[in-house]
Amino acid sequence: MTRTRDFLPLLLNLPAVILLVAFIAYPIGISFWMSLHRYNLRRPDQVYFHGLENYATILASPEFWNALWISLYFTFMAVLLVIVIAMAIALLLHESFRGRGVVRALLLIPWAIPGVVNGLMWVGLLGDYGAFNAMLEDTVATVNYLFGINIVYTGMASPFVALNAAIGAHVWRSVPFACIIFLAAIQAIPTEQYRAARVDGATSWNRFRFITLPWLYHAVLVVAIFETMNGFRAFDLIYALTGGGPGDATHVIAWQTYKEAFARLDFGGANAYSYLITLITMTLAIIYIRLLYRRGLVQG
Amino acid sequence: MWRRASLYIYALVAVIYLTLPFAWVAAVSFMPEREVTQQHWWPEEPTIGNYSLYFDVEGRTADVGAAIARQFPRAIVNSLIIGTAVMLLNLTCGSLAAYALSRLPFRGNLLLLLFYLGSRSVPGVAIMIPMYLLMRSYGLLDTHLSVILSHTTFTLPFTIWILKGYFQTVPLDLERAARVDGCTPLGALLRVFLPVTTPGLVAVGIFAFIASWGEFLFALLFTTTIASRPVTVLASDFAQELGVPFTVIAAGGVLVILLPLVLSFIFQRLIIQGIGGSVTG
Amino acid sequence: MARVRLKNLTKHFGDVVAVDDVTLDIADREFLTLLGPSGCGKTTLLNMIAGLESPTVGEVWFDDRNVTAVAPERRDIAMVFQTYALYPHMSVFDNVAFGLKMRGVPAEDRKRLVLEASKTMEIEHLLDRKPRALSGGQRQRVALARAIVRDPGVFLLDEPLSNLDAQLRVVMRTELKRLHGELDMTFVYVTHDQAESLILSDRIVVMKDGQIQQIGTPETIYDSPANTFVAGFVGSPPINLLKGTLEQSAGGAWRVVGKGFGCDVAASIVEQMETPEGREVYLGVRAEDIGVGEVLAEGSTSGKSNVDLTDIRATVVVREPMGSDLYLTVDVGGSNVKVRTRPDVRFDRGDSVELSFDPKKIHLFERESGESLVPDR
Ligand SMILES: Nc1ncnc2c1ncn2[C@@H]1O[C@H](COP(=O)(O)OP(=O)(O)O)[C@@H](O)[C@H]1O
Ligand SMILES: [Mg+2]
Repeated sequence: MTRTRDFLPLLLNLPAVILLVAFIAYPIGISFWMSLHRYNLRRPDQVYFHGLENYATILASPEFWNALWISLYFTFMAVLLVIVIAMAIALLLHESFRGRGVVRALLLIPWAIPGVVNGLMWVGLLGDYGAFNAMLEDTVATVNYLFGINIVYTGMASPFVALNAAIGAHVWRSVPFACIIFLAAIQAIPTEQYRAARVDGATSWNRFRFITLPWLYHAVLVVAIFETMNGFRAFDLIYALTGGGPGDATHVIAWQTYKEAFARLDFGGANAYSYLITLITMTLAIIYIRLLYRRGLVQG
Repeated sequence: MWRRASLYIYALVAVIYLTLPFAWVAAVSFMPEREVTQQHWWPEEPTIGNYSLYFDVEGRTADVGAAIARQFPRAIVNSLIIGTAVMLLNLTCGSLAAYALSRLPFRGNLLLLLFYLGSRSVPGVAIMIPMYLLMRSYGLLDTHLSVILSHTTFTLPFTIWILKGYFQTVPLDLERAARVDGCTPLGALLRVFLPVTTPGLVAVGIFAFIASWGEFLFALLFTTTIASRPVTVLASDFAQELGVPFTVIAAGGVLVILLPLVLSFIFQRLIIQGIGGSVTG
Repeated sequence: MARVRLKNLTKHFGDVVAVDDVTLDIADREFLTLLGPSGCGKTTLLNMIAGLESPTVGEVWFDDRNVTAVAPERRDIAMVFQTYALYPHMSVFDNVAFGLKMRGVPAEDRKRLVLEASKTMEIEHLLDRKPRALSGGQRQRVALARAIVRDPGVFLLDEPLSNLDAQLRVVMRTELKRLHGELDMTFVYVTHDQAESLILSDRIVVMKDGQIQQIGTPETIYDSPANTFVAGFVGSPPINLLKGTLEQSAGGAWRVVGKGFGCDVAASIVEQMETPEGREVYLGVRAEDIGVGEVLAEGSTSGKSNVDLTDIRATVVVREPMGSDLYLTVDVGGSNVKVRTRPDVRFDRGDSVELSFDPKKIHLFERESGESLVPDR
């Protein structure tokens, strides 16, 4: 009886499940299996099982820790900036003013631009003749003049500039999606809440602090989840913008994995890398989801 | 008054932030090469010469990169094929699954939901090698199908999630009314449910299309020739050619962006409402 | 036109028993109301009549046809939903015409029938609009037009007035009564509003927790409630229920005696009981069946019009003028009792009054089970 009732919904889920099992779950399993092997395409005859050795090698390598550290910095900054900027724009779009429709229409531009093209764009913007390069140069010169110091601006040749430029470019492209979510959440806040707060004499900052923010908690967490995942998987932008350089300054973990696999052709090692990334992102996702869940119970 | 003014300044800053990077690149794409080195913001002598390389089908020019540039129209067709297929697969598989999850109570739906969420959190680089080997063993390398399948799998969980939220906002009574009015279950689905959910379906369809259009990693791995290469990969190939002027690269970038940009303009209202509401809802 | 019979209908949702063994015979062209509090299973029962839910146990018959396994689109029914469920992507005309179209009615006939139904519901001027451009009352009219246009045998309505404001509700109530008079249809009407059910119905089915409590005409339900639940649910203000005990006085007359009151009971009621003496009961008396008068002197009361009245001491707690009536809440031995009286009565808060219960109108319920001890009047 129940069995026949369950049959149709399961059948409807079947196509999606088959696709995801075949091209995500199965590969992830294979990936784990391969990570336990020595498997270098340069020596295809020498494939053999050697347990956790790939992991041991990776955890002992400075490249891994460098990549992890860069990815953590990259992701943390990206999540933070995306939330702040997207929130600022969402609050703006919630106000009514003439021309709001235009701003709303322009909002999706960064999102519509493919990651690689975004990278190429910023290569130009930050390149020798780029618009932003000139601005940054002028800014540094002004700072030097004002404070009587002598910072040498070397553009994208500077590890600091390269990494933060990559973050800036990544954030720019990520803002619209987060903004869409925030906007929907802000619009869901009942206006009586603000009226009530006004009657209670709350200032506009207090209204933001005690009404808007708590109502947006859920949306902020959702954005944080998405952006954490996106931060750790940032690849196309790095590929196009910095190519991992200068030196290893922008060797984010996705880039490092790609290099292990397709530059050094060490499939075993690369898969171990993949596994570590998956573990890290999943752990963070679980933490977020628990936060969401706990909050959900409280708001219940 | 003061408040109005500061609001407009605020809006102006937002507009500049959102558009300036792209606006500059678009402007550069109409500049002769020399104006870039003069760091102009606006082309003083606008030219469409940078674009001509991409439409030089007969191959008369021998400029640097011309060989790759000539492949652009073909690559755009590839991207269109891939994007459209990904969109359709997302809509069919996604709406079936989302319909079951939002409408039919059944055992195991929580498990499925977690499975979809979990699949969404697997990063592309984590499965690129097995996917590559899988596609190689099926002889699918350098075909549209390999790229279509990989793009579908990483967009599908999001599609299901959004559609499930969207479907839940449609009252069950609508389909019931249709049944009472004489529709079969399938009739109610096609004549009432589908038309009512069209805005949501269009939103996720466009979303999947644009995501596929912009995807790079799997496209880069699976395609080797212009038989299947999409524009994103071609654009990066092109940029890596030595000696191609940035003005020409910029023109290529604009060409790649054009379609997603137009789509996002046309459907912005649907995307903002359909996606935003369903993610948190 | 159809007679609807429900045989032992039961519906389980997991552990929840939404409808519990309902057997009901609805006559052709009857206006039958399912009345009960929210969550008592009215909608589920209606959905089973419509075929939108399949019963766990039991059968649904339309005339001499067992339709239990028949899909809703093949039953001769129309339904109005609580939220109206108008198709948002269709114009009003298409909404009304949809059912005809699905049944293969040719375009010209469709147009004629839609116009006819629109005229009945007075929505001719709205036909080109989309539902979202309509007010609540207009949507309601469209939903009704959509249902009547097909001239179904059975017309199901699920709380159709509950989303309207109070004034509109009164207007639409009259409209529904008119419709029922004009159309040859069996109406099954769901509501949680007892006033609606009293005004509209030929018969009322009172439900609680998925079970039928009582079936009867509005008069029966109001005058002879089968138990304390029905007595309390039907009627506004709710019936006064006072705890008491049956006692026989020295003269052999039976009385209910409780804290602060005593009231004669007709011998005909008590005769039917096996052991009346000491029986614990609820005395039920409606606000309008209570007389109120000034305390004149010990043992005598003003305003008496009936020698059979029984006198009870009380104190006025709240005075609520309602225009045509005056409601007094009075304290009787620690319990609040609502009294309806003429608006020119001057009693106010703190005044001592004497009440009199009309012995012919009082109700007795067994304390434990809540079942009525009074045979049907
Ligand atoms: N689809 C369903 N799944 C589970 N429980 C349901 C479902 N529909 C109704 N119920 C439960 O059945 C009971 C009766 O519901 P319903 O018929 O809607 O009551 P009413 O219309 O009288 O308010 C309620 O307890 C409700 O929670
Ligand atoms: Mg109901």
